[in-house]
Amino acid sequence: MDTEPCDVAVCGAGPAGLAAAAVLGRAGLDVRLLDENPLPGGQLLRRSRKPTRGGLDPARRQGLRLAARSKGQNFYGKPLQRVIGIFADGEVLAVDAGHRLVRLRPRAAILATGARERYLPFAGWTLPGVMGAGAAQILVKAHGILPARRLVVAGAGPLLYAAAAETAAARGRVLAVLDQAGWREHWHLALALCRQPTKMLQGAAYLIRLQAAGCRVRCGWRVVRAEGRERAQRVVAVRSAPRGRPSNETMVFSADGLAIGWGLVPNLELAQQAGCRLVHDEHRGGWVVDTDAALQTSRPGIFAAGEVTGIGGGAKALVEGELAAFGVIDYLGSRLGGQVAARRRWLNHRRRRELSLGRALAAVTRVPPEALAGIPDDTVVCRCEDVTMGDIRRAVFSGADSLSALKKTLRLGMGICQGRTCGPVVLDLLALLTRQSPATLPPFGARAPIKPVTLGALAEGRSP
Amino acid sequence: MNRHQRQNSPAQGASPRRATAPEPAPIIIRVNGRPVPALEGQSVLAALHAAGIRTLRRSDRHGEPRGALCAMGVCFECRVTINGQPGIQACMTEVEDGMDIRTDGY
Repeated sequence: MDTEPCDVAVCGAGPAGLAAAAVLGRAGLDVRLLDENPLPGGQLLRRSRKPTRGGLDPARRQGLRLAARSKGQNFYGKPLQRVIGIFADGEVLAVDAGHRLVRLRPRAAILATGARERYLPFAGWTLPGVMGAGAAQILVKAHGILPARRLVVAGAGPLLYAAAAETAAARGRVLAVLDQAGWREHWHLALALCRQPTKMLQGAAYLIRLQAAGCRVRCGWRVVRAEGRERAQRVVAVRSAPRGRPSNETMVFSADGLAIGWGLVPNLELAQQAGCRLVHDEHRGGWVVDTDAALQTSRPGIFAAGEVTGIGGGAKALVEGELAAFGVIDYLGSRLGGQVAARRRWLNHRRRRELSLGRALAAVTRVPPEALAGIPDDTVVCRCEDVTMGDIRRAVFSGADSLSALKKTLRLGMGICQGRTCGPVVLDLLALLTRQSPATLPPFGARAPIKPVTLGALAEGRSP
Repeated sequence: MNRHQRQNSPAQGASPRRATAPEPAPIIIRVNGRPVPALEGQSVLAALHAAGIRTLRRSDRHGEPRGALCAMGVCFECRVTINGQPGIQACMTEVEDGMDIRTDGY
């Protein structure tokens, strides 16, 4: 198979990728939008196949309009293309649904790989029935299936309320939303939301819906245990007392489903594999891709947009997608008109506003040290390799002080998910156990292929 | 069609003013040899979840039951054997009529 030349490869068809592709397409460039999902839209715009305009959220409405338009264009003609690497010569490799290799040689690339959920391990979190809040949302929104008969939602951040409210709207029984953050953190989020009335309204709508559905909403509570044989049957939560003092107030729920999540972490693997520099910023969700003002990464010709440059939500992703596209057009030597300069200024202004929301989100979803310190020794942390908290404590006691040391001694993060699930939380654990600053602890590295691929696809473009 | 799916049939919740897409076609998949109803366009994970199937595999080292965690292609906990090919992510694969799925892998 030959390498196909094109102008720009946009990796990820979420809000940032869609916004970028729309601008690049209008500029007459040959754009390829690559995404592993069957429909464009990413996680934010993931939706049922029936028509929807996106409700209250302006970012969702704009994103859905872009997604609808992208379908008519050739750049999203082939869904299910999973990018597995960007190489030194600029070649982009992807694998399609038929395990065939797709080879592109773009003149520039935009990384819009989005974010995933952060999970905090607790006893029983590997039981079937315990799932991400995003997973619960996907089941109920994209497929119209209830995540559980009796659901508890626990963790931190606004996504919990979205998952719970949408389940309740589909007439699912949601017993409780247990938010680890206290009222003080929520106060900061509320202040940030004052500048974004639609998000404020949406939050209020979620709370009203949950109230009407008889769901208990509790702040300052965290889940400590899921129990059951073969699948989750009970959920135990404790109240986090102020200033980390232990508390013996507990709640027990009889539930067959538990949806969890502690905010989001960026999907950095493609940027890391491509050799783009990362930077640590706790207000943007930890390690993020380092970019200049035009959103170009440390690797010339590779730009980044959306959650990979810092967790900030869909509106920030749409703004950055457009900004990165302008950056690419500049980089490729095309002329930008005078109106574009004004548009860029306005986008940069919007971007700063959305980044301040990101800061409030980071504060609400921060995992408190007592939650990390309280993970029992027999709790599995790395789900792929069954590495427990006790294994990690012993390895740290014997001198392991980095992710790569833990990897070498325990096989932690060497399983099929390549450290995506446990990596972010193990960084927090290491910082706590070894008293290091998180900014000095690099995340797991990433090499091609960044997601598993059959040897057949690599060897001859076909699986056996 | 089982109870879970009927509770949330696509017609429900849609505004009557809005144009509705054609109903997805019901199909049959086989899970560990048993027929299970599914809807066209559903992910394998959604079809299994609707049928009440939560355990999709056993953990590599200790053989503990595992089910889907992220449902968005990240965690690889939902991998099943599809038409004889092991290690396929149920959340990223769409159902096809007559698809043979096994949930007894590692």
